[in-house]
Amino acid sequence: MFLGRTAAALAALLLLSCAPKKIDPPQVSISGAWSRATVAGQSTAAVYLTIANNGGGDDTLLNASTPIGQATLHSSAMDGAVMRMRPLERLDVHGHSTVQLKPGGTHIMVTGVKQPLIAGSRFPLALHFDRSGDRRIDVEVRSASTAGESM
Amino acid sequence: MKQLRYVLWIGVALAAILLAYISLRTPSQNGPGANKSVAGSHFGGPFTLVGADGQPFSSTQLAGKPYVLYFGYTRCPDTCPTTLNRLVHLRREVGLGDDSFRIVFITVDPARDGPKEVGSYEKAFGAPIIGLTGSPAQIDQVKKEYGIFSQKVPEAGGDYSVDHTATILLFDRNGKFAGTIAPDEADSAALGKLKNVTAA
Repeated sequence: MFLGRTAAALAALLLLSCAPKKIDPPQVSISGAWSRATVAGQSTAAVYLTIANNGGGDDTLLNASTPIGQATLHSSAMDGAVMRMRPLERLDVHGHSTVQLKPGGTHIMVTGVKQPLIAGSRFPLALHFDRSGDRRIDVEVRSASTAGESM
Repeated sequence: MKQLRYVLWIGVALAAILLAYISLRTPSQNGPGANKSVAGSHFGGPFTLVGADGQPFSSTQLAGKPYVLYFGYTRCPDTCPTTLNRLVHLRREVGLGDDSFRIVFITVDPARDGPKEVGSYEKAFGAPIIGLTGSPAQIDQVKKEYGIFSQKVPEAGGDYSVDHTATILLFDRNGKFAGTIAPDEADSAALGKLKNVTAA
């Protein structure tokens, strides 16, 4: 009898510890997506944007896609006087946090851009999140000479 | 006698450790500290490259006006256009017109950047930028003279990007080296340096 009770208590404990924790879902929203205008002879572009996660749960940006070329996640970082750019396998967006993709830092690189990107136009971009799924947005093309920026 | 031999061997070992320490502490020529020695007598010098029109471009054509040199590549999606756009904006802020100093862009990727490609930045930013390319040997020579490091990094699909020194080099109207601007330096500091070199 005593043994049975102990076993039951142990089983209950085990069940409790294995029970899925209540996980808040992430609430991801994208804003301020822009890219510099390009001219003939330029086949590479970068997209900058802000990802806000207003939910409690973490999420991860896995990759992105756009009909204008091949999109990959990249980070730029200074190593002394040398700028090194590397592909990013994933970009974590923790709960209740904001991640900024901006010049001189993390960005979405688009290669193989066939047509120049004209200032004032827009192109579609899909962001693929681990938990939130796909988010489709429009990227605003800004005139390179007016897109005031510093790193 | 045997003891003396041990002592001598210990001395040799200590000397080797000391030598290794000294050689490890000496900064590499290509490393991040490379432009600390730029004021030395071996820094810079005349060069002949190829302009956006496909014609030879001699550094003597830069005489008479201050100029800045920036090394990069046109498929660089982030740092290079950001830096050149920033220079165009800073030149406007200096307030002496687009010819107050020249912005010179030299590719470190001559295999993909021909005259047409290096000429694209001028159109992209709507302001005068001198784009230069050259044969791989010419580019290697000018990189060596100006202490510029670059290295190809493979990307997915057989493509590559290029890690490179991102420091902006400043020269006065006589072609004399006048300092550097780091890419992450504040605009106010960079503007001060550009005002100084244009006033000199």
